[in-house]
Amino acid sequence: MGNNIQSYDINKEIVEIVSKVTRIDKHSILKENLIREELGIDSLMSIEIIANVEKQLNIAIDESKMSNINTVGDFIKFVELIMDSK
Amino acid sequence: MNITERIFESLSGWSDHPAFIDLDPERGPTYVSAPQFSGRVRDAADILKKHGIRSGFIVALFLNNSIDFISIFLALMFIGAKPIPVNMAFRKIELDEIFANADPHAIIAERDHLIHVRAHLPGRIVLEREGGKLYLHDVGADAARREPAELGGDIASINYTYRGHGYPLGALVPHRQYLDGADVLEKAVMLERGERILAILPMQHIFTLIGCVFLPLLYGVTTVISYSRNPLRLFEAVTEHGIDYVLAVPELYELFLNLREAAGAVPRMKAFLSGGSVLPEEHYGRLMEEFGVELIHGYGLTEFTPVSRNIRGAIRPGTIGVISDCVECRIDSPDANGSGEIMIRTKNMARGYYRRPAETADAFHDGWFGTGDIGRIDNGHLIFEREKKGTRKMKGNMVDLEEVKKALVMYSSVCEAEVEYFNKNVIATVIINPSVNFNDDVLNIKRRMENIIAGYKIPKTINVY
Repeated sequence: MGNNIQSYDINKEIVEIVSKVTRIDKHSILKENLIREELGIDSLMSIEIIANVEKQLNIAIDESKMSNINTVGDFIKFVELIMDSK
Repeated sequence: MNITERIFESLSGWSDHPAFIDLDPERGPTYVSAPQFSGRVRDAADILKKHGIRSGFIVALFLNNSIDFISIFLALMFIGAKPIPVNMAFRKIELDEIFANADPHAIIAERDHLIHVRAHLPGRIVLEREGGKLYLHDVGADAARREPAELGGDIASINYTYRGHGYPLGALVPHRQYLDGADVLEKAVMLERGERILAILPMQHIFTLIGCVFLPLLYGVTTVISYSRNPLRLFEAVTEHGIDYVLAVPELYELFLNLREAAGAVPRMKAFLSGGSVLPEEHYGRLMEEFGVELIHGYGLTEFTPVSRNIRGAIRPGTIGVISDCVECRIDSPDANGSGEIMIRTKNMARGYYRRPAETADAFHDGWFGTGDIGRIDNGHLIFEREKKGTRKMKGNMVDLEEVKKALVMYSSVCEAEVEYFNKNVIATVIINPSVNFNDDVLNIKRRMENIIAGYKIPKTINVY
């Protein structure tokens, strides 16, 4: 797990990207929100989020590893693991 | 005329350029030459026959995009079997209908997909694909003894689609549809031998089959198979593999625009082929300007594709192009604006729907096929306006509103449901049975629906009363 400052930044970046793609107010997006059922994120929206996160954080995300990610918090943890392994 | 034999003829005249480049991330790029690909199709045919699959057998295919998908699909048609390329997102409600309607003799599936088809495995020949190889899962002794389906030799495959009845219909697609479709598209795009097209969309869709399988194989074009739909990965593939053409749905091109700045430099391609849903007129100019390509948008259905398409060098934004040469088209009962149902007639369209005489009679009259779509013709260009039938196109996927309603009422607490399409989303209203102690919430209904119906059909909003 990254340090607190890094975690905070990743959290903030990801929520802002999710907000931009879904057009949901970033203050309404919670870590426990279900990506598909609550935020209405479909497969193309998730690709847009992934691509923006990749570009913003300079990482590569394997789409095929995303099937077990259900919540915003799951996704943040997933990205943190990639950042830690860089 | 067997389409696979025509493809063998075409492959025998290829030069050294590959037939396919498969970008499987696990194995790295795999280059397959024309002779190698011919060999793969013939080997696949031998394996299928060895496992008891014969001419006239109906075979449900649950395979991801890959060279194997294509070689198995062609091998089945080569031996006279009738493949059903099934949408991998389909779940219980769609699969129950397809299996009840087509009663396939055999199933060929990715190993990790068998769980979704498990209710339909008993009694059938089952082959599973894992690590690029086919393994026998079940000999299906009962199926092997069954009579072949009584389908004419001109039928190549059974491709399921919707018309708003609440269940899928198996369009009987003739070999010549694939040939005509490729020919019509080639005349519009004017590809040259040795050029490369990027395949992104699922190959179960007839648009992908024609544009990324039959067109390239018949006209000497290399198909590069991407496993990713992330535009950043796709642009990398364009750079690394010298892509000339991309085939995608308008919504994916919209994503290209959204990520254009993030992508940095993108090599110049020749054209984007677009279809499967509506392309907003304002995107034409932006896409052509941002990517320096021609945008060839068209229109088609599982029953015949393409009905119309724009022609390279003579594109008219906001339209779905001019009617294909082999197609007659008229507008039924046009209103004052000239709008009405788009009717088509061509000798090589689907022969009807498998084991659905009433639905076939409803759609096909006197040699004409009623598309169920409303449009008009303006200066020789077809303009799509809206669906008349009870289906909606969402990001290239067809959603039958009646089927969504049926899936909702399968939930024990729901006694009534209404489904509508609003602002590009499926919206449902459900009434809960008052005699049931309803402790669930909307999230649970949505989660349960994931096992019942394709995920893209689950309503974005469900109002509970």
